[in-house]
Amino acid sequence: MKKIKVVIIEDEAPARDLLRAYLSNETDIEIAEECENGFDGIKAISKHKPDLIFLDVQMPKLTGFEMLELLDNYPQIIFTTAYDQYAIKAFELNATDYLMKPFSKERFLKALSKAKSQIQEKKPEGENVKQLVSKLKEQSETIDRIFVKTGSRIDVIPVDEIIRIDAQDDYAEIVTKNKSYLKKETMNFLEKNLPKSNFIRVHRSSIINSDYMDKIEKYGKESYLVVLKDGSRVNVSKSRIKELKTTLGI
Amino acid sequence: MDTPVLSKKYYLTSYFVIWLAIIVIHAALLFFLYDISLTESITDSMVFNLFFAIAGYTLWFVIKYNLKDKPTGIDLFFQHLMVAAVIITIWYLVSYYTLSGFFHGDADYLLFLKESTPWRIITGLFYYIVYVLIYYLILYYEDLQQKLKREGELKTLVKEAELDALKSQINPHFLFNSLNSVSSLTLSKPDKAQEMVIKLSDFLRYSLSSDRKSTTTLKKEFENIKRYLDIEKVRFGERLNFAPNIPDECLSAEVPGLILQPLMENAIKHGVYNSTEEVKIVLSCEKNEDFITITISNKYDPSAIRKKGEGIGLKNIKTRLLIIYHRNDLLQTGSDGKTFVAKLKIPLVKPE
Repeated sequence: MKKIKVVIIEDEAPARDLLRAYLSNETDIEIAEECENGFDGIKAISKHKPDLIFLDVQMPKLTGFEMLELLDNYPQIIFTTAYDQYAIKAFELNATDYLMKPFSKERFLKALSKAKSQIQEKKPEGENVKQLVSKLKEQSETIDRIFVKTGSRIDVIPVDEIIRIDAQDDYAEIVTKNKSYLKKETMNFLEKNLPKSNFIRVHRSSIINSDYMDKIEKYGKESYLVVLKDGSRVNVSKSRIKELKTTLGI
Repeated sequence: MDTPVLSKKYYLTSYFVIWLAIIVIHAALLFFLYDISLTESITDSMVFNLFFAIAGYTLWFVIKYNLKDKPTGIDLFFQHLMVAAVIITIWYLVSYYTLSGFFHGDADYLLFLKESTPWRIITGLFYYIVYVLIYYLILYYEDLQQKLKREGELKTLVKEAELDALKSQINPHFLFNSLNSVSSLTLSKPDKAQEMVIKLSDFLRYSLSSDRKSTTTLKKEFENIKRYLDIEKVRFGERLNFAPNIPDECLSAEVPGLILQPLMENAIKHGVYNSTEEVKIVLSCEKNEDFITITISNKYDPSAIRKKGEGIGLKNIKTRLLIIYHRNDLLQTGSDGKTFVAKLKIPLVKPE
């Protein structure tokens, strides 16, 4: 029989030890890799294509949820968390299995056997997790960094470094001083969740960071252009010129 | 308007029964000892006593509302003397003229009525005193009840405040993750698990026993954060590197209890927690004439910092310092973009 491949993603060593100990009697399980953070987690998932992952919600740099956002395909997931009422609410709404630390072996085995039967029935976790991720995203507050996955590489972009964002079909092109990135994201989400103090949607297809604004130029009768510090020029739509002026206080 | 007599049915009944008994005794005395006819005895007794029952009833308002600005000593005595004089005079005159009107043909009785005046006055005075004493007793009792109630409410409030403080002191994340580590260690390294449970207990005990207003020595505070960091070290392993440097001369200084732990927690939350590399937390202390200055610094990753929730711990510390030392400039924090530094100045002399 083919063994169930497991990846453990958990930043605290004792917590990993415990999961390993609990799994040690399971003959049909093979631990493919243990990861200390979300970045390694993504790499391990694309490398091993596990059937099941144990995922800690709170981790440095990249949280469990942020990590999920960057995955294309989801394995079966058992979340672990110590205390996060916000996450627990989300799990419950979504009927996702989660373990509250510290958890007993019985509770652990219950979650494991549920996951095993899902795997055997080949029930993909996909839809469920996708819903969870999008729900969490809806509720999310102002973002202070953006993750972009290009192939197997993940870039973390602090929002302060973003000069402008342009819509490119289903993608958003995020332009910083040194590089530009493509991320599958809607302009509406970015407009809603980037800090309102300096990010302004000047056009249906453009968001600018006013910290990098050089000047506003008038061209034509009622048309305006924003010139940014990197020399790029961005059209301002008629309907948004007023908003732009109020945000800038002119 | 609530008089004690009307406040409970039981009191009203008692009031009537007592006066009825007095009326009966009074009538019996007149009838048997003074050879006064039964009708006259009963009428005499009823008129005098019922009138006083009414006068006494109204006395409540005089005491509760007119004397309520609580005069003391001689003032009180004279005020009561005046009230007593007025009430007793009115009571006596009304009773006297009512009775002499009823029995104007009976010269013997009228003579008795006239001669008994001093006794009537003394009885009135006696009634007055009894009334006043009972009313004061009731007022005192009511006051006491209210005080007890208020005290009870206050105690609940303080408890709630303490609980809130406790909640902010012991981070549930810390607690549950530590317990999870213990759970893991019981399987792999039982000795270490025991050690950790003991450290965790000592830490919790220290947190529970220090109240927000009291001070302790820096030595005790330092021992507590060492325990705290030992526990965290089990969780974070090599990511956490604690480098304390506290000279002995600082250790005896008085500092507010649990003032360092939130700063350490901050350093861990923003430094260690958001890092995958080793983070060094440096703790040092300097003493001069008026202050000790405690400095805590840690490296952090500026791109990983979360704006949300920052500063609540720091704000709590500032409030406590303000309450204890009446100064709001004792905690300074700053960052050069990579290292976060908190400077805590503790005056060596605590103001009264």
